[in-house]
Amino acid sequence: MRVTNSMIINNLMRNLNKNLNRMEKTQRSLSSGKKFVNPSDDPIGVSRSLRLNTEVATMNQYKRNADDVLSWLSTTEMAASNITEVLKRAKELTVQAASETNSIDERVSISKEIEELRNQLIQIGNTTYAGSYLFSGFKTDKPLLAKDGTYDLGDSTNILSSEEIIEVNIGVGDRIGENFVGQRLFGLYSVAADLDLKNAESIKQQQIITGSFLDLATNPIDTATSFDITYQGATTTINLPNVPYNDIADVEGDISAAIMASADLNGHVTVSVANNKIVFEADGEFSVQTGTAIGISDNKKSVSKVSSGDKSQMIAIFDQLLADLIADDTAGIGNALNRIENQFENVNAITAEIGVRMNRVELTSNRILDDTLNLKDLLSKNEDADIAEVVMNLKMEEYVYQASLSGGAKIIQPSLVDFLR
Amino acid sequence: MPTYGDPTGVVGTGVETYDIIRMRSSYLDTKYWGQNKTYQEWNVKQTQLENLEGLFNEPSDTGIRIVMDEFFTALEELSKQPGDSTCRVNVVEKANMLTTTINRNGHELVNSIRDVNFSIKNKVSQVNSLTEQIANLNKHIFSFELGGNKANDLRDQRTLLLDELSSIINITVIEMPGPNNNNYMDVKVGGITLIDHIHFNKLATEDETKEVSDLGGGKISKVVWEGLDNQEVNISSGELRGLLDVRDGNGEDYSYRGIPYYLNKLNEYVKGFTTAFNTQHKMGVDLQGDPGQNFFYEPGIPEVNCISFKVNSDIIADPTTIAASSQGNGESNNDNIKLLIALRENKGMFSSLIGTPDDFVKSILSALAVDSNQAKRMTTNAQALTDHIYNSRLSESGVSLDEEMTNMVKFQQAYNASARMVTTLDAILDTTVNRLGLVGR
Repeated sequence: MRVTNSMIINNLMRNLNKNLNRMEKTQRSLSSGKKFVNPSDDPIGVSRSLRLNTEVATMNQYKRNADDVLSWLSTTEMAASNITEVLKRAKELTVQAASETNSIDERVSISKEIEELRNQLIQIGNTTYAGSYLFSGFKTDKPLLAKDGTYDLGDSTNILSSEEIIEVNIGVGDRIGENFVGQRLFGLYSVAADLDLKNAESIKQQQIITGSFLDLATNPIDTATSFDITYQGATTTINLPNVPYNDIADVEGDISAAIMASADLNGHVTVSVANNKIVFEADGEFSVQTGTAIGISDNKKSVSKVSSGDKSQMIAIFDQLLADLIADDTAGIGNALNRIENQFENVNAITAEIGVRMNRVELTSNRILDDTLNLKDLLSKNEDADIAEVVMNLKMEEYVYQASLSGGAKIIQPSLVDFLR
Repeated sequence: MPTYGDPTGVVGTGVETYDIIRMRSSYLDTKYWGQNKTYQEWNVKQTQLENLEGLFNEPSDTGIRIVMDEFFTALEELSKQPGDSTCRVNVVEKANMLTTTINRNGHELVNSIRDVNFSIKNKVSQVNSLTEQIANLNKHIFSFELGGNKANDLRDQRTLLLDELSSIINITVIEMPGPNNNNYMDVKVGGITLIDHIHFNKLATEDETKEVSDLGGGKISKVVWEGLDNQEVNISSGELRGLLDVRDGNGEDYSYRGIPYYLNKLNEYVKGFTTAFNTQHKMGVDLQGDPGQNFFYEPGIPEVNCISFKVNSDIIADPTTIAASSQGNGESNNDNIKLLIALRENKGMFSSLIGTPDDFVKSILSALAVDSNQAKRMTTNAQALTDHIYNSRLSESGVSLDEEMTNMVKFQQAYNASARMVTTLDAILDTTVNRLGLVGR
């Protein structure tokens, strides 16, 4: 091939340009600290970077949510432990009042303190966190209890259902309820006999087969043919004779028939369908066999409802105690001791539940931190430039560029013209 | 000094020049024109796609991803305090940010189409200007060469113009002998004659009936043969093809993924998201206990698109109308907000892709990234080939200083040698005439 000067210069220019381009790219990645700037630099890297960034943002939000739930729960825990203190003091006073040697003055001063404790309980029931009433379910702008110990809830027609749990996302599909509805602590008083019940007993129990397990279109019940319901210690096996099911109403029908046929369950446990879920309700302690095979989750909830104007059981106990103190009804005061003890147990159980929930949130919070770190690590690996490598590359590009420049200077200058004189 | 092969310039030098021939290979010229058009086509696509990348501006802190993240973050905050007016205003603000970001992208895409359309019109008039110049040169060359001379300078000019024309549009150049040993030159575009010796056809742009897009922005134009029943020009490569692909390619039926593709995708995204979000929002109830309305404005016909995408003005005016709860049983009922947040994991919103809204945005950007990457690679490859041919041309017609110097030295030496020959003859004659014998002296 015949080589001409303009060819050489052309080639030199092109190569110089190429080198300069490469150097610019390396320099850009050094100054930005990123492997890529435009999507076309690394299509896959960019789409991964988008996903990771979104995940980091979501994780940060879950962390904030978990922290908020935690402070809400710790306020709740504080309120619960205050109730415990109140009940403890009330128990001491009641023991003192129950002894027959008290003078009328002493009984009056005891009743004054009991009254104070009663009012304190109402105050605790109306505890707020950041301006929201803790125990009022969704009605966080309405106080729970009125001064007379009835449920207030702002409006005479309002109902506080135990389903009013404010759930917050702390993970994809992972939610936690941050509040406890007031009636679980303060109970519902309707007849005199209720005074001796623990709240947990007075509240109906329910279990749910959740919709996600029971999505019959994709997950028909076709593997298990039976499961167990335990009520008051007695276990009954429920058979599912028509497996696989295509309609949730058929499942309900078969379960309902089996419950009716069982002497242990009939009249105590009922089954219904709500929102594509199978819901069990019972008037006492019961459990449904859990397991993925038949898709039953152990989602235990109380279903009781209280309405505005209903009396709180706990306050009712105090009111009864006050009346007994004033009437000097020793037997009544003696009964109060047992009643307060029942309440005490209930509050303790709930305090434990709060503790467990806080524990779970803390664990989740820690896991979120770990996940965030991992994600950031991945993100960094994906898009951050390895500075050492980039600097090395840059140096190399610089050498190449300089070499091509000096080579160019030599190429352009000499030709035979320079040597023939 | 113009040397049209005219021997008059060398009169009196004792040499007769019959011809001065251009050192050119018509084979290489044809190859160059063939390759150059591909190079320019991809070059245009690369530039345009780089613009689009800048327009979507990802990865960055201002793209669709971040406003989407912030919108859902605001919803999460609201889920914790559904009764709080600050949280509600925040949701509205972030929703506004989301809509304006997408609006801006939409507007810029429409503007890009308009700009490209303008470039197409420009290129067409450039083709017409080049065509006219070439036809004119043909006339000159023909009349000049009637006398048997070679119009080398004019031919050089014509080659340069053809180079230029070949970068804009796909041309085939045929030079055929005419009468009197003269040459006629034909230039064809897609089988139809652009230049026939001294005659030429013009291209024109004709406005289509449809707008830039459904979103307004003026009419787009097609490239037609002026006068030939306004038949559409068959453009297969060159800058014009690149521009047409970028302007018209909607990615359907294996067509190129140009700006309309991204516009359609953005519209589909907005439509799917708006519908899903509004449907869920309407299932809830607001702070007053009234059923939720459309969260995003839904104009009905035509369907919502990336430019009409707006937050419902009623909700902007009164954020308490955000339907956070599932039923009116208290301000902290956040059941509907939770379901709205869950939409982010919903994979069934879009007809063309099974994936979450985030996946959809990612797929748009991936398509852009891959296409832009491909355009870059194709440009580099085509450039390498074009450069190679260009080099071969230079190898053929370029001036090598070494060669010229060597020739010069060669001819100088030859001259010296002939001079020496004269001297020698002179010496011979001298000897013969003056030294041999002295008879007659």
